Amino acid sequence: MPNVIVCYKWVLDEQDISVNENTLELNLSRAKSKISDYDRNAIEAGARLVERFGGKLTALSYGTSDVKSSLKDTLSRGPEAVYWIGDATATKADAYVTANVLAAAIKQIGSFDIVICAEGSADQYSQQVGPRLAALLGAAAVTFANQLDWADGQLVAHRKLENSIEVLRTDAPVVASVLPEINEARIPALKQVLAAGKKPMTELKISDLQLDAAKLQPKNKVDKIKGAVFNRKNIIFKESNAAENVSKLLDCLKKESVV
Amino acid sequence: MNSLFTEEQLLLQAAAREFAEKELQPRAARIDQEAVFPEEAMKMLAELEMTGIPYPQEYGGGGADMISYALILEELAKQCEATALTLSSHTMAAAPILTFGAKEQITRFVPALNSLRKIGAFALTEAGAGSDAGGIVTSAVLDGDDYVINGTKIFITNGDKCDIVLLFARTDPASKGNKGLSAFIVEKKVSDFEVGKHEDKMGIRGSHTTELIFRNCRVPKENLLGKPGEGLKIALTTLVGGRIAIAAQAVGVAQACLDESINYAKERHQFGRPLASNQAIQWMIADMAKDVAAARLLTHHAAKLFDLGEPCGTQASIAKLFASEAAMNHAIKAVQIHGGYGYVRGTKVERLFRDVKVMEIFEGTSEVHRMIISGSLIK
Amino acid sequence: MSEIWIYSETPVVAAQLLPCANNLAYDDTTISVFLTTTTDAETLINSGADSVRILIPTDGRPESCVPVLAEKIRAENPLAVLFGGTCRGKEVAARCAALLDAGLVSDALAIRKEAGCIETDRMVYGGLAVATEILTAPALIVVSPVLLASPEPDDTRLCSVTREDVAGDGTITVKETIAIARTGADLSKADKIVCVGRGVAKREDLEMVYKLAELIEAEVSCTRAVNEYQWFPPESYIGISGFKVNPTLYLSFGVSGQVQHLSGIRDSKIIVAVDSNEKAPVFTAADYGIVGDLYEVIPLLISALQD
Repeated sequence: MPNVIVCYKWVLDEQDISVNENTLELNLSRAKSKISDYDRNAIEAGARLVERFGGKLTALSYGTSDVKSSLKDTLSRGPEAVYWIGDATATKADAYVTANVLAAAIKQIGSFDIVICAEGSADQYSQQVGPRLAALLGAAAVTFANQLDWADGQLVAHRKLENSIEVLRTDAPVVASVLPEINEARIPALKQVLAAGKKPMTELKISDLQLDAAKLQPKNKVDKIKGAVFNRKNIIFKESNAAENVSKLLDCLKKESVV
Repeated sequence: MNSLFTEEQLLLQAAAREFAEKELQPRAARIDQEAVFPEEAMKMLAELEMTGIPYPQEYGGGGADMISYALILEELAKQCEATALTLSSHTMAAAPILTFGAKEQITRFVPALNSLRKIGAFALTEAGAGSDAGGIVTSAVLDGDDYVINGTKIFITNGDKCDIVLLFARTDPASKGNKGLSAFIVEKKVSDFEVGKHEDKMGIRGSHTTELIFRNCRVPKENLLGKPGEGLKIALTTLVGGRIAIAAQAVGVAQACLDESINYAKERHQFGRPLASNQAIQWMIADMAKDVAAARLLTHHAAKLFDLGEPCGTQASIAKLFASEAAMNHAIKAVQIHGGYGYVRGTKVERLFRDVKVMEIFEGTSEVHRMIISGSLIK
Repeated sequence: MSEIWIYSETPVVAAQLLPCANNLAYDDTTISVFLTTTTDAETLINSGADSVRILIPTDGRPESCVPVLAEKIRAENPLAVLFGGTCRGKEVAARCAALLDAGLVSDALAIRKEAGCIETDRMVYGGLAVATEILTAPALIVVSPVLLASPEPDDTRLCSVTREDVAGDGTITVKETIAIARTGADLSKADKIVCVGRGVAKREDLEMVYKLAELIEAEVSCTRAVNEYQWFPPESYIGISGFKVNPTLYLSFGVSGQVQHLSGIRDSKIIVAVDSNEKAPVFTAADYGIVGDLYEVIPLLISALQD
């Protein structure tokens, strides 16, 4: 009966972010927020573990005060409770800061068997928070997991590496980061949505987590973030006659020696 | 828009949208082409706890409000109106039982309907009784412990699949018109009836519409719903919620017409530029956007009054009338924008056009609704 | 005297990080390569490494070397540590960074010396933007496979090789290792790729796509959206959590160009897109393109190529 904590991130939807063609600056103002796509799979993985093996699933998130808007959404997907930290430090937080905050929060929440994270977040995809948490919490690390089972008090996991699947058994406590392919996240059922608001939602304040100020500052300085430029030729054929377009395209490709 | 809805309503809308895009969109064309009853989709909706949305959780319902129901139906109708209509017609069967039924009837029938263990249908219409419910001739005669039903109902949605039918029949042989009608909960297992003609319809073909033939069909007297003679009141009360549900579906279909038109207008090029660069097309799109926004608000207004327990019959009629006519106009514009492609099978708007026409007819024709609305004002 | 370290459990990858390390080196910088196996270790000798330090995990898992590696980084304070961006490498890097209370840059696409500091570029927001970061020592960096390059032979350096055994802590046991049988071609090595997106309506339409691919000797793949239709081997799509590819020619049909997909193809030499929507984002990422109906264009391409 594992005691499971799943960490998720409330991110800006990258579909809504636009890039200024001239300055390459990002415009985030119209971006709505969402549970990071891959975190939906992480939450689902936690929910299925607890549904199959018993135990408890708690969700945890660190973000700005916006994270309040995620709580019912998360609770409608399986967790029985959610802890959240909404703090301005999240705006500039990188994986180093995030892992420090989450580890401190998990220590406050209490003992656990398994912490589940997604392999990466939809906005940064650093693939660091999970293994960092393992190191900070003194727990075993299981990364790139595409299958999780619980047997005799141990986590049995499949790690998908480049050319092989490593099947591991590990004692608790363990931090597992999971690949999106691990499952298909459920669509919340109606009564789960309506019941979400009645589940416990506990705010943790950064000041209560007893972290040095240095732990809340990224170690690497972000100098700039600019729209990715493709620097491609952009030669697009738009004649109304498809045959003409095809013939012009093939001429170009022959010149490039790719056909 | 967010402050108009609660978080729960928006989450339910998002869940319905995701379900519709993932599961209904790939199935909709085949459901129409082969007139297949959307059985898989209904099972999935049951798993999502969406087959008894506005009813108390105490009886296995979702416990959600009418606005949530409207938001969900809109999302389903956007992708597959056949599924949405199958759902709303099924859902309609439980409403009168909850409002007018004895406790024993509620516990016997409502949970089974809400969980989709049993499929429901609503049987009012007959050959001589369309807009005029008073033309009902199906008779129900008390004989010992049973009522004996004789008659034929037509155009019954879910007719060939239903386990439970809300049936309206004349119990008072001396009566005429609207008086002397009664409502019955007819279980197919107990009181067998025949499924007659399957209609081969213009649209919403995945929703099955059939005759139901009652020949000396014996219905236990415990299955009488409410009192004898209350039939019309029960029918009209139920139809109020039914109309809001139809209005919501019309909004969904109208929105689908708008979305398809915008996408097509951006992609289709003639005279060296996209259709969308022509003001004529831009104005058609603007008008569609205006009308679907209005239809949605009217529907939600009626739903809000319903949730507050306030009288909303007129509002429901206004919403249904406006939304169905708007949807019809949208479909006409959408096919026009698509040109020749809008006229051929395989293009979504071709199906939407065929689907939408009946929305001006069933659940009260537009003419009946104009009567209701003016009747409420000119007394 | 400064040091730059390289780490990979895969010696071939470690060797291919040497040009990158050399780029960052000063005249007096020595380069040490950390491996976790002796197999193929000789590829590092005479390739530009000053020393090869092999940590042998007694339980067979490279990840078990993390505490020892982290301690050495702390004690010896190299300028930078470049980790090979394999799955194992990423885990090792992140755990070391946490133990060292240090930052870590993931999937660096570019690494430069800039005014005495090390600067990196990496993709964020699913590939929509590039973040440039300035690192403090020890600069821990997971290096993207795009920066891997064959090392120049170099026999000027005295390359010492040392090894030490590292015991695991016993919490993790490997039950078994299963080789992945690839059902399709390895897209990450494909020279030419044809990619299908949502614009392709039915599975039957793939026939003409395969015909075209055959004519130009390309592999066929798909976007994440199409991956759900299961027309292709599972998880063989191109996108941020799928494959990243770098073919000579990438040719797409009916792909609108979601940011995650574009980030997967950006290292292609020539990108060609065919889509009916003139405003599709894929065209900003393309060298050449056709605005048109793929159902018209593909048959025309096939007949033109057959002549």
